[in-house]
Amino acid sequence: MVGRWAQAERRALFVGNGYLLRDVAHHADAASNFYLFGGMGLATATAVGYAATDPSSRAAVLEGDGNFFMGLAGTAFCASSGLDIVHVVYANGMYESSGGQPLRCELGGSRAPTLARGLGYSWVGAAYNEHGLAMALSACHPRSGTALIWVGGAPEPDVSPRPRPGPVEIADRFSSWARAARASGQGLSGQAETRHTS
Amino acid sequence: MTARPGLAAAVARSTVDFVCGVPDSVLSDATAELERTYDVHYLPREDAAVAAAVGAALNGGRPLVFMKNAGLGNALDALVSLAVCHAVPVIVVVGWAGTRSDRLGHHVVWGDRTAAVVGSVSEHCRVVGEGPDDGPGDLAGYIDEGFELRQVRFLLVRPGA
Repeated sequence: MVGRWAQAERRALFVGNGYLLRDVAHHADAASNFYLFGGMGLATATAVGYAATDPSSRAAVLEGDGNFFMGLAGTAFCASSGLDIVHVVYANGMYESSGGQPLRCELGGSRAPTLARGLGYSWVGAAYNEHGLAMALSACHPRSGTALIWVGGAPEPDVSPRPRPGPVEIADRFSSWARAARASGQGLSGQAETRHTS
Repeated sequence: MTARPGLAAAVARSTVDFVCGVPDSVLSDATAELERTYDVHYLPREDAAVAAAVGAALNGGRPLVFMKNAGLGNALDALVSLAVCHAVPVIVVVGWAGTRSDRLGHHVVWGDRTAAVVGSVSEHCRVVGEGPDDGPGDLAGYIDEGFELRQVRFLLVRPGA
């Protein structure tokens, strides 16, 4: 859903490693997706660098909660950047792709939105099913500044295959898309919005 | 003593258009000079800085990242798994604490290992101020060649260089 939403929004999508990456590559692959095969925790910081380079560039990040906690420094930098970045965290409470080991950092209930607001995200939402996620993705546009959507999830029964394109091919494909997007004047400018939901 | 502004002059002569990093005392003069030319982004951690540089490069930018040598430990995965793996060029300026007259214990442990750690990431490394071809134009050429060849390239700066 997030992959298709990002494409419709003409946003670059940065996907953290793990099963989420395989799912997006399998079900919603696009040249506008950059897959971080390595660099766990760094999708958000990468998105900030991307968006900071050109004011018309809009980005989204999709990562699991293992990536989120590993990359808190990048998340903090993203939150206060004021850039047009929508950060979606799929929280299933485990390191799913390495064997399902439990993630001991939990942000259940209202703690995730509280943390996100504290870090400086201008819009914060939470969802616990597909309908809720669709509502949150719809609600965070139009807007300006960073948004975080915390999605409470569960392990997926089916594991998608690894994507075929390799890292260099992914980078080249993405850079070409970004170049074309800049040339065409990418995306729409949002309006300030400070509505928070939980 | 900190790095001379000559490094900043070299960067300004190159095609670098995105500068980010984590502050370092060895590099403080140079980064202050860079702020005259660039919108310098200060990040809370070195791996995030490298990732931001990669993101900038993916969007057509030519990034330079600065950090203290102790930050190389934090930055390694970003350098290897993002920049090198995806063949995204990034110039990395590293303050080389624990060398020359800097004999602080917690600096020397990293000073002794910096060259090896840098060498594990890339064969392209220059020590600023210690080569025959080290004027601003030469360094700018070294930087720009890295972008053209899609390489991670290092510039090491000793205290007082």
